[in-house]
Amino acid sequence: MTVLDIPKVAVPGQPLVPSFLTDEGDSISKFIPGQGTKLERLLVQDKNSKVPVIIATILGKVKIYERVYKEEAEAEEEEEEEEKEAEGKQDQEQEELKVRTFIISVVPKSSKNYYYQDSQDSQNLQKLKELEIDTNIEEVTSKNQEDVIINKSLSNLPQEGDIVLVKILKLTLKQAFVEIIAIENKKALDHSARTLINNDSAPPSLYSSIASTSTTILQQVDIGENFKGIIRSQDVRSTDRDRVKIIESFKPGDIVRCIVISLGDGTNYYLSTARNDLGVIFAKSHGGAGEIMYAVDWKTMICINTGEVEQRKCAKPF
Amino acid sequence: MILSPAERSYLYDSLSVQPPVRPDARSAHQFRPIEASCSFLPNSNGSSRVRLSDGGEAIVSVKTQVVLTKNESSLISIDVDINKERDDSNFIKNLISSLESILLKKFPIEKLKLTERYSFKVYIDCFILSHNSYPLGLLSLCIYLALKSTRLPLLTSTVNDREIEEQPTFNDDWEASKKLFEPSEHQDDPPLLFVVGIIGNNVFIDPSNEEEEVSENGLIVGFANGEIVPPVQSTNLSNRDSKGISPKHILKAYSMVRNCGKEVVKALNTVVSSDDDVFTSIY
Amino acid sequence: MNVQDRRRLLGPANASPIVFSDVKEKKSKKIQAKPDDEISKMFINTGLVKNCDGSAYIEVGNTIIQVSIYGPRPIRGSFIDKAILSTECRFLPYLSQPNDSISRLTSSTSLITNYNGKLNLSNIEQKISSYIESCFLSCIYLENYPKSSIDIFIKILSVDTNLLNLVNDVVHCCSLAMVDAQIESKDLITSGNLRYLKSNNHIIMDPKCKDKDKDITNEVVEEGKLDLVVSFMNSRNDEIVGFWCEGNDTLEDDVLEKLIERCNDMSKEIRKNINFYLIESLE
Repeated sequence: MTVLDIPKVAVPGQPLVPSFLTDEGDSISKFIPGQGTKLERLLVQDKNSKVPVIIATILGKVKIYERVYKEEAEAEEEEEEEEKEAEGKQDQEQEELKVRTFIISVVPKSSKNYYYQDSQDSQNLQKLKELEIDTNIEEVTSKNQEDVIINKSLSNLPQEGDIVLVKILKLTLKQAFVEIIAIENKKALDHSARTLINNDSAPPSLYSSIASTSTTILQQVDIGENFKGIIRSQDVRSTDRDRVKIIESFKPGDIVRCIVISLGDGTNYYLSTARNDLGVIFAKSHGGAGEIMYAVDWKTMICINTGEVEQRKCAKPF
Repeated sequence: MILSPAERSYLYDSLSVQPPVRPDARSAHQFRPIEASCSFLPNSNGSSRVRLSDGGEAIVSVKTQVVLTKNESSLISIDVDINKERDDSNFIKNLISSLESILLKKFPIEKLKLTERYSFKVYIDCFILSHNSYPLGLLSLCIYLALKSTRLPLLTSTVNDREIEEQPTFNDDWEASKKLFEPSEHQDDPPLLFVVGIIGNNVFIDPSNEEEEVSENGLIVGFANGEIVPPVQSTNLSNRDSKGISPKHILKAYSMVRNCGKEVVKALNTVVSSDDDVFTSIY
Repeated sequence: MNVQDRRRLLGPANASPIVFSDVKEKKSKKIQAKPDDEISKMFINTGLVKNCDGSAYIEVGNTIIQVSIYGPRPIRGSFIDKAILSTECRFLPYLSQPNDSISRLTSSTSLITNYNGKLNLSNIEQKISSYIESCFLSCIYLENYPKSSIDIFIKILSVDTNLLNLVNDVVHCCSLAMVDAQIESKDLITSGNLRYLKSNNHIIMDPKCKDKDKDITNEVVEEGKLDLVVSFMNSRNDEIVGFWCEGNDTLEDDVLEKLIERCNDMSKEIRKNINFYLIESLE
């Protein structure tokens, strides 16, 4: 096995690796750009034509993950096409080629919270092999999530499919207006939140920190710098959608976990809570004047101190 | 102008083939036809109007004022006014500073000096009635014509007024006036600015609105007396899909401007010499 | 009651005028002239401003620049699929801006405040803003940031050089701030700046000299001088993202090619240093 000559750290624009590499002719490594990287066509010194190269787009450490398929057969079929592509480059018998696919991404210094934490600097194939037997890799095998990772750009903007935490601002009969406070697994969205929640720029690990810093979040003034969103009544839950009453689902000030279903119009993202794990996760009784309430079932919350019961569309806490 | 993805890709592809196919069937070094006239404003020293085929139209008037030289920071003042555009907008300020940057360097300032104390101050007022593409090229042509047609009245009083204070007086006869830019050997023509669009490996002069929309980058190139003069500057003609350029592009733009600059000057000079009659020129 | 001037507030009767001690002008250390083929040293720092998304600070000689970047932040109005990039460059109010020929004319108008009481940008400020904007438009992956805007604020705290040299430093400062803001870009922009003296075919890299204020009649014209700043994406096949040439000489093709080449060398040198700084900052 040859040691890959991939830089450990990268600055924006730095070429990291061509999209294909051969290892002494017996296998091909295919690289897919992940977070903080982009596939570009660049002129390489000794060639006249442009070569697909993965470049870094931000400053940070380079991380490599191997993609492992659960259903080998299905994966094989998929890889067939890519192999053919590779064949042209290599002039070798394609049957003998084994394609290993890697996701390469650049992780900035400040962020710790990513889809899979890994402590080791996976710089060469030996280490990558270790990674294969690592428990973390299990996450990678779930194909859905993997695609999410690949498509995600590093930008801390809400994208379709993102889980976001929002604060309810205003209710109408048809929809709830919200402001997006944070995106799960990304750094906090707005500047005020970032400085208020954590003094350093480390991303707040949302679930763990939501209770401890919740007061800070609620006190945060609206300076018009947050992305806004809408939860329409038909997106509140997936059953009995036409009988949803917004007022029985949310109250202003509630913190709600939603999924982004569309980038929406110029000002608002369209959000949905139509899933068991989505909905109100944090609310105070009496429109914010009372105490913190806890979910009893999917549509009621109770205040432990006063016994007050209010209606909400709750997220499944576990 | 908002183009659909299909329009955009069609324009981009046709403009990046070799040679480029421009939407109005011009060749890369060809200007749009213009209609130009000059010296039609009776109250100004020089004036011109240029109309483009896409409806762009500009009027430039050159006026002079006798000023005490020591009170002035500059003897030339340029003002650009565009319909529905704020005077302090970045767009207008950039137009003005590009024009100033080239005019100042190539202006026969010594001709403005009247006496030891007094000089002419030249006010170049540009009014863009309508524009669809980036109006710098249009404006530059218009200013050229206005300056070429500018006449200064003949001084009759003494030149040396250092000892005795004396207001300058002028000959009333307009026939006796001198031209600011006299066609002669050691006299420069007014400078011109050209806008060049860049797409793929191609460069093309005087981009139209649609071409600007898809161009990857643009260059403003100064031209005077058959030579390229500074300022030469890259500029974004659209704020979509811009890309970097290579030195090859700049050199290409250079030779293109150098070649057609001469043609443009020749054509504009015919307009000036035929003076008042409306003249349509197509290069 | 004695006769007192009641129209003014008078001080106490025993007041005496302030006497300032004789402040001796500090003998300025003779700054050793930098060799013409050397790039001046710079001090860089990032992340100083805490309440923005990214910031950078740069000191080159006596020139100090600070850039902060806000964004991506939400916009109001209709849907856009790409981020809007806006740039604002400001000199501290007491600074005299590099008095290049372009700023002289309308300097009086630059002090007019606009409707919200803010000072309007002067022509020089506008010019720098649009140069930076056009550079970064081709560099940032704007499509990664729908419905948002990225705002670059450039503050010039002190300036002791000519315009194009200042622009050169501003570009570097903005690049660093852009990296600090973690905005995804195709490359890190660095640029090179040089002055070409035609008379002896001499190139001064990174010229730090101030431009002399020119006489009103343009009499003090140094012959044959070209100033050039070219911004590159060096890891992207040296694509040029910004090009700005000023001066009073004609531009020849072969000279230009050489000058761009030299700017590229300088840009690469600076890129190496910036890379080193950035990688160091990661550890």
